[in-house]
Amino acid sequence: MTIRWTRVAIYGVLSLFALLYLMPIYVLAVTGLKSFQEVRLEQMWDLPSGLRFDSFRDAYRALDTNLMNSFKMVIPATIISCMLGSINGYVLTKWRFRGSNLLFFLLLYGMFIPYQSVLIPLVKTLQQLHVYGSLWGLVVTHVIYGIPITTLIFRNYYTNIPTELVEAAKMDGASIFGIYTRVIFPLSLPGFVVVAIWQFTSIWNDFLFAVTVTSNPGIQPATVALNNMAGSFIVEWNVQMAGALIAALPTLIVYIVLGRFFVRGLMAGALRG
Amino acid sequence: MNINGRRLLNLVTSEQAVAVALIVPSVIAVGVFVYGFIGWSAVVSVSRWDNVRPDYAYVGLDNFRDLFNNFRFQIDIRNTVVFTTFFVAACLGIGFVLAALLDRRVRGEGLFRSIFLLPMAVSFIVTGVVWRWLLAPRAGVNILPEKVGLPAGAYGWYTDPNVLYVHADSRLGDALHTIGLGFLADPNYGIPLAMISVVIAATWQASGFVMVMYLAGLRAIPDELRDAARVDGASEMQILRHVSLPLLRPVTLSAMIILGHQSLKIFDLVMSMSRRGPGFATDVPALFMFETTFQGNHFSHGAAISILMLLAVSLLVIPYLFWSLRREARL
Amino acid sequence: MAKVVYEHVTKRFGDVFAVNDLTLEVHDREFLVLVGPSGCGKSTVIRLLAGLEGLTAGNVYLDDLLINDLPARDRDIAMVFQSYALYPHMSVFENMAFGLRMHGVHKDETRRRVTEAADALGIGELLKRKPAQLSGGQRQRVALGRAIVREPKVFLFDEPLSNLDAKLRVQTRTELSKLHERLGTTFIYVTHDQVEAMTMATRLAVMKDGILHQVGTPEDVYFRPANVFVAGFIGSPSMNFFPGKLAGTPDEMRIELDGFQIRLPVERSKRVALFAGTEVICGIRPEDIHDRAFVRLEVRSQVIDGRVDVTEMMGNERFLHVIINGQKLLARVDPRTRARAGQDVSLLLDLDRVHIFAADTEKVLDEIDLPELSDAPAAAAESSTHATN
Repeated sequence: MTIRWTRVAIYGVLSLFALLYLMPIYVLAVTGLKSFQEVRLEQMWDLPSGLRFDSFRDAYRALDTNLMNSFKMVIPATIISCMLGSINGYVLTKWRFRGSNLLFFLLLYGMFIPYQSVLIPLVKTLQQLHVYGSLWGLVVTHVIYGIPITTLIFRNYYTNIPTELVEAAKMDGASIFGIYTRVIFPLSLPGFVVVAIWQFTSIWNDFLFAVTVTSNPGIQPATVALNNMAGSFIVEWNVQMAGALIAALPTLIVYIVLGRFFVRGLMAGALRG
Repeated sequence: MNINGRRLLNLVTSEQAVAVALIVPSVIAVGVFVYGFIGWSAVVSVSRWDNVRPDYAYVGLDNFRDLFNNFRFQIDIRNTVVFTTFFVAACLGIGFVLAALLDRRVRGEGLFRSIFLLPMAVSFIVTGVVWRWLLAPRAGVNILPEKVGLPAGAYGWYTDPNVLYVHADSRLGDALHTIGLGFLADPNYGIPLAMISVVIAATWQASGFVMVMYLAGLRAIPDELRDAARVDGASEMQILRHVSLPLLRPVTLSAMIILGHQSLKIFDLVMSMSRRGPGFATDVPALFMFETTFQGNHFSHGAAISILMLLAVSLLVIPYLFWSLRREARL
Repeated sequence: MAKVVYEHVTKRFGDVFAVNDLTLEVHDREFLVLVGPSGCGKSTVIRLLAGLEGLTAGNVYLDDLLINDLPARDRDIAMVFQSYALYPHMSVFENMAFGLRMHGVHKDETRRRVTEAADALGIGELLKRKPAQLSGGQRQRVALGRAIVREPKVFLFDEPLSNLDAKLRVQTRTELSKLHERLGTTFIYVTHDQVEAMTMATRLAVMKDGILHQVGTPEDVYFRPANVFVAGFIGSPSMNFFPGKLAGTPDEMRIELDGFQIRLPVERSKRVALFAGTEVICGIRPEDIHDRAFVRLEVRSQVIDGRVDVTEMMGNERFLHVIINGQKLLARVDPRTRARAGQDVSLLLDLDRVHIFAADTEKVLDEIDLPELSDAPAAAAESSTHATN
């Protein structure tokens, strides 16, 4: 078999880029595994002399309540967000009414606004609802601001479900809820996967709302805690890197394990425009 | 209409009513939390609220005027334009190249795809922290050449205070002057080199997503089309240029919108990576707004910045939404 | 000169042999149709010629030049695809001009060729439109035009009519035949529809499972099928088949079937005598089975009786689905026949048109003579023997 130089070039370029993309993760991991003494800017690239999990231990100790907070907040928010998006998408595609397109447009716009522009009234409203400063306040926030994107994804996904299925169910006597539970919901799994992964990642990684809505360090999610750690006086790089890695671990795992479903969903047009 | 007909009509309208009722909570929520709050911000932006105690007295467009005359804000505008341009261009370029390469039936495509997509999983905060280290002047990328025996890099990356701009006394500066655009030969219209570092970090994070979008787009192009082009005499590069790329225009547009609106709002990354940078070289409106509002208590000015950000994003997004929904209706 | 030669060509996809040791010569200027059921490899055969697939083994020659490793764009071949493959973002003009552009043809020459071809195809008014604005038939002409302007050595067609409605298909068939005559270029055409194949081809190549079963003129393939597959594939409704055994003396060979016998005429008996005792498959086309009451006298025939299961009135003939000793048979008889469902009927088999294939290899054992060359005496009556029920 002759060596096709174009193939070599393709693999070469891809591998080069792969290395570049992995570089930061390498640094994260390697630094996290070093002891404090070993961590020097000049030796950034060197492999650790031995696997020390002390940094991870310290980082975990510093972050563990915050990690818990993140989980306690992200999981309900993701689940509720998915359900809302699904129902909205269902209504907008299979039960169109006059103005439903305009409504969708107005909903969708909410996805693009800079969240800075709503921070202050958000705080005040959450205070009125007595959820300011708590994780539930964050859950409410993320659910509501997640409505546009989850509705978009489900709407795009549901347009691919033929209306004949819904019509057949109607003729069989199913109600609007029956059609959802019997026809739409069972077919929604790929949509849920994409939305769940997307929301889990966005909400887990969010910083702006987290830092605005919660002020008590004991309540704050991991992203805020990490940023505080990074800004502190004594720069323990190894702990910071370990902390960053730990904070990123849940989403990294989600992507590594469920990544192909996410890509499949994206490629099936879940996020067109 | 007989009894059965009327019952049927009731059923239809009542089911429609239920449908509307199901979506009403979302509409109300978004109505309040998005439109209501924006309205509130707009009100504050034309008020006098300058310290901890609210003050809603109307002051017209004074706050906006103050902002445009504010040195830091002017730099922010320049920085946003520079960042958006380079970030979007880099993501589109790299994303497309990676997608085009991966589309060639590569073994291990899944692995490569996961590697390029992985940065998306990480929060901007983490990205900022890591790249701050990677591009630190006395470490990271700069000391990498030493590993292979080359002298270390000495570039300042995000600590570089220099701005690349057309000097008024250069040839280009003269040319601009003759056509009445002499004012462009000024640092205010230049490229802050420190921003490049932020662009690198942000591109690392977002290009995987663009890659996936382009890959999906390429896969959606029927194979027959490319076969026809091959038989017609096109080389693989020509096929990319004349057949694939034009058909990918919707993807490019969508990607530009998604990237563009994110870059206008960028906050987390800058916050954790370089803050305002030397001489505000990496300052962005979102950062300015945050400091103004939550640290300076200048609520009205903060609100004004956020309204301006909103307007900028709207300029980008509303035409796109229109075009997209109209195209769907036509199909 | 545009002669194409496939020499022991094989194409493998993983474990599957899409094309298996194909040797075929396509003569200059002929209209060769590759026909066979879906998945038989016919599309792969032309894709190999176009350069869209690489060979696993063997050689392909175009005008005596070995083109195995030549990239598609240098092969001077044009192809019309099944779904036309028109570039959706380009106008009709740009679609047709694309190939010429890629080959560096000058703008004026391109314009000349495109407008000429478009006018000839009746799409001259549509040059500025995009494919989405055209009907199926118009798109097909654009695809044709795109190939024609290239003035290639060979035209390849990959089932181009299958997306058209029936009426348009028939119309386009004749137009393609006329086009072939006008251009005088070699056409290689792929289809699964044997009617298309029979009507348009100068020669057919019948394929199944990657293997070439027979190459020949429509008459060759229809009247002298090389094996059971070709015999059953070509001709619609398809040939009737019965398993049996050859027996008898050199002058009086017969085929012993389940429940009846076919006695062969003398010339044929002599030819098949050496195969006495062999298991065979005997085949006879529906149109060679007649209603006894309405048959021409000069046919050498044998009577068999059976019971009619279903009849279908076609207008110019009637199809009789008959059951004879548990075996099914289809006959196309004179429409005046009295036979109806549930009744008995007496049929005549045309003995000169009985095909005999070896049961083990399914290859033909004794060919029949083509109609014009038949020696059957004009007025000789039936050497009829009543079938035993």
